[in-house]
Amino acid sequence: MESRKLQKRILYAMMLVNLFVIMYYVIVCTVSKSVICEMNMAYAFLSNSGCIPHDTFTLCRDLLIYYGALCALILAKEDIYDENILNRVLICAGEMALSLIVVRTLNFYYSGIALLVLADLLYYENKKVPRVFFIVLQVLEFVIGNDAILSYFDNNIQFSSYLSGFDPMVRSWIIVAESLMTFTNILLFLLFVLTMIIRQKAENSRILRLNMALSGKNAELHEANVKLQEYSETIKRMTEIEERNRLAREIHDTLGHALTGIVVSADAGKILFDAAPEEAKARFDVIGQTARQGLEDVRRSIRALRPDALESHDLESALEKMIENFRETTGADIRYAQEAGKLLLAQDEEVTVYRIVQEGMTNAIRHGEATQINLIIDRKDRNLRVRIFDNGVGMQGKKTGFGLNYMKERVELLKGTLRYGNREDGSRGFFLEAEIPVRGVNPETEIPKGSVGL
Amino acid sequence: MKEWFIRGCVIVSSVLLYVLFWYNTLKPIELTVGVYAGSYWGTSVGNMYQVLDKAIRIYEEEHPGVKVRYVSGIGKDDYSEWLAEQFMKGTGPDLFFVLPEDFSLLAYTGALYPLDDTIRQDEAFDLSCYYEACKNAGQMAGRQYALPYESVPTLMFVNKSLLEEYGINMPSHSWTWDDFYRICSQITEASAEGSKEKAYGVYNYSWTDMLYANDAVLFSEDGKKCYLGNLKVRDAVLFDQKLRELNNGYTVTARDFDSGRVAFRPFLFSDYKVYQPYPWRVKKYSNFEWDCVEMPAGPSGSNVCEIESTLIGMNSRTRHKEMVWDLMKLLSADEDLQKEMFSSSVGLSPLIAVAEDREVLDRLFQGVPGDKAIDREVIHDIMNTGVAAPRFRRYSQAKIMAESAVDSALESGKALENYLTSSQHDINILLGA
Repeated sequence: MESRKLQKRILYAMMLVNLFVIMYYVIVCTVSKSVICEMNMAYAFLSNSGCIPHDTFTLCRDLLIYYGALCALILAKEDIYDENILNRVLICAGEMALSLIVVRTLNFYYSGIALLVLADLLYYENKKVPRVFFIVLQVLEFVIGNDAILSYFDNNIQFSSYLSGFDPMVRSWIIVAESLMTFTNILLFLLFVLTMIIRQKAENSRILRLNMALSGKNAELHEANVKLQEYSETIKRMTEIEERNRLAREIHDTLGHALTGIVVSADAGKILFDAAPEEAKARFDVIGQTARQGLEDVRRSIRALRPDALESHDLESALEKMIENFRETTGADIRYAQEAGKLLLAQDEEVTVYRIVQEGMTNAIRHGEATQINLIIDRKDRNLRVRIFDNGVGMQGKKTGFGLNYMKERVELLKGTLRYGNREDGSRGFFLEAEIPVRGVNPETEIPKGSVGL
Repeated sequence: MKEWFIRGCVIVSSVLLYVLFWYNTLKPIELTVGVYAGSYWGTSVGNMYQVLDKAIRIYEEEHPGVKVRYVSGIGKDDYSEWLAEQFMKGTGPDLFFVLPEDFSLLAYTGALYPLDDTIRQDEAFDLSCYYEACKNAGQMAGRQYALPYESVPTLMFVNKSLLEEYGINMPSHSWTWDDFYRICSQITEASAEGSKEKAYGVYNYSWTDMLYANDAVLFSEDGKKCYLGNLKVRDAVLFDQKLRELNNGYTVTARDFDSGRVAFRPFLFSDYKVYQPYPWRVKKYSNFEWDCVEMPAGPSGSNVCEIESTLIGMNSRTRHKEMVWDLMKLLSADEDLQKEMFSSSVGLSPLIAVAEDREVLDRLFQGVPGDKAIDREVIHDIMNTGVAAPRFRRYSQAKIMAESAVDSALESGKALENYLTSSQHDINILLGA
């Protein structure tokens, strides 16, 4: 950042030097004009140069206005230079136009102002502005903005004609001073470019350092990632252990409690059986009650876990087994159609489908008092669709049971939808329809190629 | 901080500019005029200031709040340098008189403001009020840079006494080179034979003076080409040579002429106007009778003479162009002022209406004795057929080159045609550069 400050100072110095040079030319021309008039050479001067020199006052005023505007633009650039690309291009173009006007006003005696603008263009690096175009233009202005070259195209008084009014001695001193000032300007420009190169080199090595630091951090990050994975494995194992403990506790709390009660009641019953048969009977009632309570507790606990049937069978046979059991225990007429092809589902999907069928059939019998249940599993688009409808009493009122809510939650967890209600085809009964976007592999894509009849 | 600084600068500079502008509008407008003393044509009469003062008086009455100022006492010979200095210093006058030889310099350097647009916009002004040659004197490269102020044609001076001595009649206005040559040879030969004092045909009449009368031009209108090898130009050169041969190598001098031993010489109308009537008549050429006729016509041309005009131009850097234009019109195209100029000065008015005004002419030539050779018809003829010298950047240089080329061609006695053609080539190179 220090070098940027230095560059700015060089830029200011260049502005000052250029102002001096401009004023120098004006002064030399003015003095020369009065010398020529003194020597009664005005007529000869005009007929040689072929045009009338600028009025000193007008020239001075114009130069100061244009050069002042250029310097003001350069100074104000820091504040007004924003991200807007149009603004940037306009500012750069304005600077170049002003520098050209100054050089033109000065009859192309001096084009070092182009270097000032060039330095300023370089100072504000930005790739968006057509920089190369501007730089080439400035360099051109510097090189051919020279009265010796342009006098071919433009009717102008060359600076050397003004010098003709002076003694050879004075003339050479004027030229020496002119060269000194011009070279100072060029030197400052070189210094500016040098500082810029040094700054850019420093910048590059800084970037290199940053890159190296970044790759170090990357390695650390990778290590942390591995650790995190290990940690998550540990958590998983710990969760399993916790789950096992919970199960043990559950069994102990429910089954243990019930069995204890049963054992106690059975022992008491045995003792009371002869002495007080009535009392013993009551004990047996308690046993039954406790056993049923325990059974209920066990069921509840197990329901929170994965269905047993799924553990030992695949979904299809598990479903068939459940339906068969249901038929036998309830005597309902259950019509089952599986039109979804092979069911290759993820574990959570399998559980959901199984539960839907189980809960749906249970509801139909328990709440709907249905005698006939239709179960259809098929596919709709990419979704697996489970439909259950019965001939029961349908939904009485709007109250949805705990079971349906539970089912809905499960389906929504898989980003699916659940619809239910009284049958819409006019018949008596309840219907339930679940659509689940399954992640499992679509069996149709696994059909051997040869058999596809396209 | 910086923003405030910039804002402050902008505010201060705009206030300064406003004050400057306001101050400028308060100041009375002052027009400056560049003018020389005396007459351009070197005669001792003719006063530029008299007409100018009157014009300024009229102008300031018509334009209240405008002051017109001029520096007096700048001689005609210093005027060109003085004007150039003013332009160098940036104090060039708003309006200035232009000498014929300075016109092209002032036009191509941009000192003169081109008037074409101003003329087009001014409906009350028409360039056709001037004689063609006078108007053309203010033109360069097709643009009108200046308006004519005073014009002087070149006539042929005739020594009537000498002609009478040899029994020759006064030539008519429509005479030719052959007539001219016959008279010259008659006088030269007769004086050589007789015992009388030696007499000569013509003094100071060279081929460049003959060109216009032979319908020849030495340079193209734009000054890019030289026509030295042209047939009509060569005719003039040959005629010049023929006249010189009459004198057998003797060069006629001004002394010969003044003592009345030369029949002809090209003569400016300004001199005629001054020395023909009384009282100046007695000052010069008083020992013989003389008059003027039109220039003799060459084989391809007619009695055409050259007309020189002083001009009035506008500084291209003046800030009061319209006001300067009004003053220019007053000086150049106002009939009353031009009549005043015509009466008091040595030249002719470039205005057709004034130059051919009977009243003014009668007053001017009332002191001329005997038959007047120059009357209204002759002036009409001269001014309408006359031409202005070419005006371009290197005219004087190119003319000198052509003259010296012809001189050395005649001296060397080489084949004239080849010599002129090769010189023409050299001059073309100069003009093209």
